[in-house]
Amino acid sequence: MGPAKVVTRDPWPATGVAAAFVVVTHYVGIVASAPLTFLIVDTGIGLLFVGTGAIAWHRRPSSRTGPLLVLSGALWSLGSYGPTSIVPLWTIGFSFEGYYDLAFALLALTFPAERLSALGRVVIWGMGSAFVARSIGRLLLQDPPRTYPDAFPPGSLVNPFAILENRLAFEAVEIVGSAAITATAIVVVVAATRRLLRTPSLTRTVIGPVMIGALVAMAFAAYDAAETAVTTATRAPLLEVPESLEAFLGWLVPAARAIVPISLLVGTLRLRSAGGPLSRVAASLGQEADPGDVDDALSAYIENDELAELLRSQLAELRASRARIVAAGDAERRRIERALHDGAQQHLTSVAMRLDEIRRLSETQPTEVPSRLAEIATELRDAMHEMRELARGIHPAILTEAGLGPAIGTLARRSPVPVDLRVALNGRLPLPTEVTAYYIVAEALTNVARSARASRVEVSLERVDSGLSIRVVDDGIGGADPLSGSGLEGLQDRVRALNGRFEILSPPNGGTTLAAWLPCE
Amino acid sequence: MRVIVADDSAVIREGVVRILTEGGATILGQARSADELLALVDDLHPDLAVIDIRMPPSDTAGLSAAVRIREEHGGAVGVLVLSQFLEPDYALRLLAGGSGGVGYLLKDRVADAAELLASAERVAAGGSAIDPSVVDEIVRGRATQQRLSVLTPREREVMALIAEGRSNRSVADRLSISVKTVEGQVATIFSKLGLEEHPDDNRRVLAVIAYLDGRA
Repeated sequence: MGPAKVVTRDPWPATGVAAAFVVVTHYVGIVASAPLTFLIVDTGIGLLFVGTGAIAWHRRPSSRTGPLLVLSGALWSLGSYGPTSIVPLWTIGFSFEGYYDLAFALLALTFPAERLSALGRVVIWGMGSAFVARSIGRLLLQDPPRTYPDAFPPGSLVNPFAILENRLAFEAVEIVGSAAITATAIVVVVAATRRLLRTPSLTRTVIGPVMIGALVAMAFAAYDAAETAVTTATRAPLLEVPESLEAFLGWLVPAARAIVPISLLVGTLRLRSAGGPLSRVAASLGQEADPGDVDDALSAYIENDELAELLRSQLAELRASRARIVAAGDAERRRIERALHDGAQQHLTSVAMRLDEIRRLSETQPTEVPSRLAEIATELRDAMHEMRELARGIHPAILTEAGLGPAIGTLARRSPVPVDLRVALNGRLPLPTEVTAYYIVAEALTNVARSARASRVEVSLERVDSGLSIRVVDDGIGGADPLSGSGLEGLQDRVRALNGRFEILSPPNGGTTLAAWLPCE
Repeated sequence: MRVIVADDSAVIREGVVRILTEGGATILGQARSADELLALVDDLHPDLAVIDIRMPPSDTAGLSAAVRIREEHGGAVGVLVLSQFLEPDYALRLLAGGSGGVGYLLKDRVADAAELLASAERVAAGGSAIDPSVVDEIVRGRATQQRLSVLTPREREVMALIAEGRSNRSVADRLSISVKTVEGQVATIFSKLGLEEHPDDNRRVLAVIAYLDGRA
């Protein structure tokens, strides 16, 4: 597949030949006294095809549109021999009209650079075969004076190629061939419409005009062929056109035909001017335009769409997690504030009150003083103990000072459920990794102690690849949703912020496994 | 007892100096940072350095300085570290750092002048003083509890006091039993746990704490 590969990069020789062909053909027609208005309009459309094709070819050399339009112009003119009275040009024109529709069908199915689908191949081959069959019939099977002696008196128009003149065979081929052309053209119309409707809005600016142009051309093709079939079969025109409309249609039809090359050109030129992801597709079209490359480019574009969707969802997740981190920070500050108020401040207030009491006692009952002072010392020790625990909860100094291993050792020692510790760290890790790992293990052990009903828990920390693998596995009841209502939810955000991974498996009666991976870069 | 006191907090430093002075110690100098401390120790060769664990330039510069003094001066200079961290790791690091007197007390202890003074004297004399809270922190771990299940409650009590760095005499006084009884119990404890007895108090403390912490 791919005429684009075989055509030359330089459009001008072919264009020159096609344009000359158009002009010569129609000049011959004028000389042969075909109706003048028809020839002017017809020449115009032919030249329009060739001209737009040349521009498209020149500006977008790798697109098929240009060569196909130029070719269509030539083929179009070939059909213009039909109304002339020169033998044998008349036969040639009549026999080979309509082939340009094949070019439009191909464009409708493949623009900008798609491969033909299986159905597309059937349609193109079917339409092509119908045209060829009809050409053979018109060329070999009919000779008007002999085939239609009523309508054409002897000597008027002769087909010198009619070696197999047979009216029945000619009409059969004519009807079947034309019907096949109509049918395939309708299939192309449906296919082009579907492509038009399914094209994402971004690419519609490119695909749209081409599809519309191809649709118009295919509609004409379907109608023309249908009319041929019906007229041949019934000797009556397909539609009775009122005389009043005939002049109007005489202009409308050529104008509609003119839409075809113009819209094809517009779409083709937009191939590279459209911005955004499409320009990538276009850029690849601008080079070698191997259909495979173009396929890749198009799928990259589609992938882009999916990536954009992914990005959007990740962005939303990021916003949510940022909000959660802020909320977690606030909650933590509130917890510290409460701990200070309920703990240290209470103790200090109590100490102040007791000291005041002792000051009074020292005058009235001095013997009581030493024991009261001992009470105060105890109270202050309690306060210091609470402060120490609070400070450790905020950030354990051993973590920054001695690293993750010793800090996890402290956690294991303090765990009410016996811990099997496996630490293979081989040196210090980046502080954010150590801190997050510490809190993951701390929180996991707290959860195990609180709700797992486990008899043992295994904690392993290991350097893997460029990260740290953390596993906390207990033999408890499992089946819990360990994320709900525990500090692990906040930790999950922390892990994500580091680009790490975090997973909890807790099948009923299967214990709970927490597995996390944190990068160490 | 010739002492250097190192703490970046003037309040604590003055408090410690007052307690020790009242207890009859001579204060050779005061330091506000680990570097100052190391320089003073090198110059003055005290019997004891009382060191705040947290001093400039880092969270545990005091600990590093203490370990270094033990390495460089052997048993000649006792180090007593005052810490706000209930971390057996740090105590173990100190104990492992060399021979001679060593102490790891929580800062709370400065509120108990007699206890602080007694610990200081013990360390200056080459003994050990590990804060009861630190020992308790180790002992209360579930794994340790399981290992200690072979001991009677009284033996466990004796073991904790040994871990604090107390001599047999001190344990006997504390529990109001005879030194002979203590010696017998210590022998039982060590054989039950499969530990080797050390005549040196420090080695004994290190062995016991390392065992309790699951490292031996």
